[in-house]
Amino acid sequence: MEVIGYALEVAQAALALLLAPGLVGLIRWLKARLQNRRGAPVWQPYWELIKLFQKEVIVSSNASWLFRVAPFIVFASTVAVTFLVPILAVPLPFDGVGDLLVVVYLLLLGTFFLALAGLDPGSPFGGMGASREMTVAALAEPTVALAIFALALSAGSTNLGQIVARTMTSPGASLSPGHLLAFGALFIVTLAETGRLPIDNPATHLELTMIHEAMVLEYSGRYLALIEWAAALKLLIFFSLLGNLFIPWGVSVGLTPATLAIAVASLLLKLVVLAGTIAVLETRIAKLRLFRVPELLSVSFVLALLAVTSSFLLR
Amino acid sequence: MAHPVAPSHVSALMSGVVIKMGVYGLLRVTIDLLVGGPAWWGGLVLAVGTVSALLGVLYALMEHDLKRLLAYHSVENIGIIFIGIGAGLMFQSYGLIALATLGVVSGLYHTINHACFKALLFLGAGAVLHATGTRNMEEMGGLVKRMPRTALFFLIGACAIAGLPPLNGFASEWLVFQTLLGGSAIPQPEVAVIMPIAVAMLALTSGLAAACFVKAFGITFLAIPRSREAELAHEAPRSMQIGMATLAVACVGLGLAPFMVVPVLGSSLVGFRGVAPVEMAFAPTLPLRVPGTSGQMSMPLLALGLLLLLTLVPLALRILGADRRLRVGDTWGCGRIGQTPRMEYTATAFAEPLRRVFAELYRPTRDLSIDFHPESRYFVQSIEYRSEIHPWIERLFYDRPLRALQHAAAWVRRLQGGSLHLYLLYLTVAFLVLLTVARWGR
Repeated sequence: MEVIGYALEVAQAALALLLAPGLVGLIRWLKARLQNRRGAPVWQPYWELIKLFQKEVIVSSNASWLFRVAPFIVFASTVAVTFLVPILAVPLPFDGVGDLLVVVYLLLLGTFFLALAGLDPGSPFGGMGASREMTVAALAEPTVALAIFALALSAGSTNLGQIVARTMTSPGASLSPGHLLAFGALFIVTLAETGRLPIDNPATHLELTMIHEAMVLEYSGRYLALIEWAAALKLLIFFSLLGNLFIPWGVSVGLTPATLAIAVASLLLKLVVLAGTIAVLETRIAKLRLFRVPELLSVSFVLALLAVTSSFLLR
Repeated sequence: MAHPVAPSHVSALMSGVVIKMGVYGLLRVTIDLLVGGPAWWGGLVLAVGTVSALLGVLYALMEHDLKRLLAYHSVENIGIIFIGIGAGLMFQSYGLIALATLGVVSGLYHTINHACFKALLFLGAGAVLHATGTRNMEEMGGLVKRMPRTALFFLIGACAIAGLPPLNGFASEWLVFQTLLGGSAIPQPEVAVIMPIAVAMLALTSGLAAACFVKAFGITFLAIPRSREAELAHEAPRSMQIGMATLAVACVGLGLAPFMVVPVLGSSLVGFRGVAPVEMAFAPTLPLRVPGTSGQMSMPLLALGLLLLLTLVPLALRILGADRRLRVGDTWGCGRIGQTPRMEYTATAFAEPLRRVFAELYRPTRDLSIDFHPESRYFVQSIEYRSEIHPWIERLFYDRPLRALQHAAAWVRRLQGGSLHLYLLYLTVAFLVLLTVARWGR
């Protein structure tokens, strides 16, 4: 049983790594179709990653060792999160190693080093990106914490396995106002943390509007591949948090081959639905001015606060 | 504030040890002398802690004097300590002994952690000051190549204070978070409002602290030097490096071994009423099982996992045959050749988005004067921009009460006339008044 659990952890992380670029490709393809373009095939990001891994790296002469270490820290911390998040099954053997707070702060660790690496080459683009990324990350933090609080209140624990298990045993909970409001809040945070519209535009290379892309502008070759892959993985992590914490059905409990097959199928379905939502959203809305982003984040904060107080009072 | 002005090792002691006397005093009074106060005492401590944490980090963000920045972070961290202790006191008055112990322990843990990483950061700032002769971050940069060891130690301190796993700041902040989440055990509607807000503000504080230390480390140590002094900077002497290394090791050790630290802190509370020795099962995997809250994480396993991944990823890249060539080139400058420090992002620019977001709080004064060419307004000869932030909180809570106190003191001084007759009169009057009061009171 133990061995199966650990094997499942590794399989889950591998699956997440494998699916992540495809998820980005899917969103891009859906967006293209919605905008009457043919669009690149869904597997295009895989070719891009392979190409980047085969290219030489150019590092600025101003940059220090930190610039060369940061991609590995970003990638490692993001991969570490895939071992903690219930993507396919609960309870996982590493559930006790880190809870939802650990997940959030591991992702912050990656952002921290990426922002430092943005400052390292001394380019104004990098500094601009780093400054904006940290601003958005800091302002999104209270919403994340409150959404965790709301989930922890109903589950009695911040550990992801318990939250999922609890929602599964009482299906009504997922339709409670606390859960619905927290879902809305976390969805907005997902947009902010993964650099999607209307907070950041992943398709732009215009210096006035970009955040994440500006920060990683100096990266090339395998370093850029690691960062892009980690960013795609982060998107997949947030999607599976949204999908599995709030709508946990499909997540395998028994660890039998049949339930695992259902788990993979339901995960794919949830990812496709969320990717479709993002694609529609990004087609329908324009990017917000940077200084109006805090307003959107305040909306998510208010949603999260309402989520907590309602689950407090409706217990 | 005396912190930034004192020599750096003294600042380290002041921030690490001296300001902790306040925490000690608070604990002595609340859990030893006046046990079992009403719930609003804890609520007040919690509120003061929250406000102090948030204001501390917000003012630190706007500060570009490295040591003043660190001093503002002391305000922030004492706030976090107070959040833990305040929540503990609230639980105590509701009779939730286990959670009360957890709150006080989390505050104590953060106290020790703050002593380590803040002292480390002050020593690092001291080494930078020693090497460059300035505390102004806008004149630094590129120090990571000139003082690599100091930079590494400062980075460890920065990660610890920003609450990033797997260092000690994260361990204690995690415990404070868990304490606050335990607030759900109190069935009071006002608690349902207070605790979530405290959680949110604590999260905002830690997010802003991370942003602030990206600024502090990034502007000070990374990119190209912004002044000649920074360009000629040299590594700190061995004796200073040893001091920083010791504290850096302490930061890592305290982070990896919460299961050893927390029981010791818990046992220091044995014997106090209201914080009975509660068996908290802090095994190496740190399963926190206190009635009302249950969370679980393991700092050593987390660190091990990260380390494993950090070695496996480059190894995998090598095995899978990723390209290993590396070329050193110029920073991309849109076709422009040659880069000067003036093109870099500054500390002010880095903090600008947050200054705009919190403009209502900062109320900055702006002063912009542009000299145009006499022929055409399209040619600017010089631009002068000044912007200052005076913490109005300081004026409101320190300057004004201090001035009022001085006025009152001056008025009271009139009593002291210097004449013995006058003093005899005071004595007689006081005696008579006391007698009357005593009689009347009976």
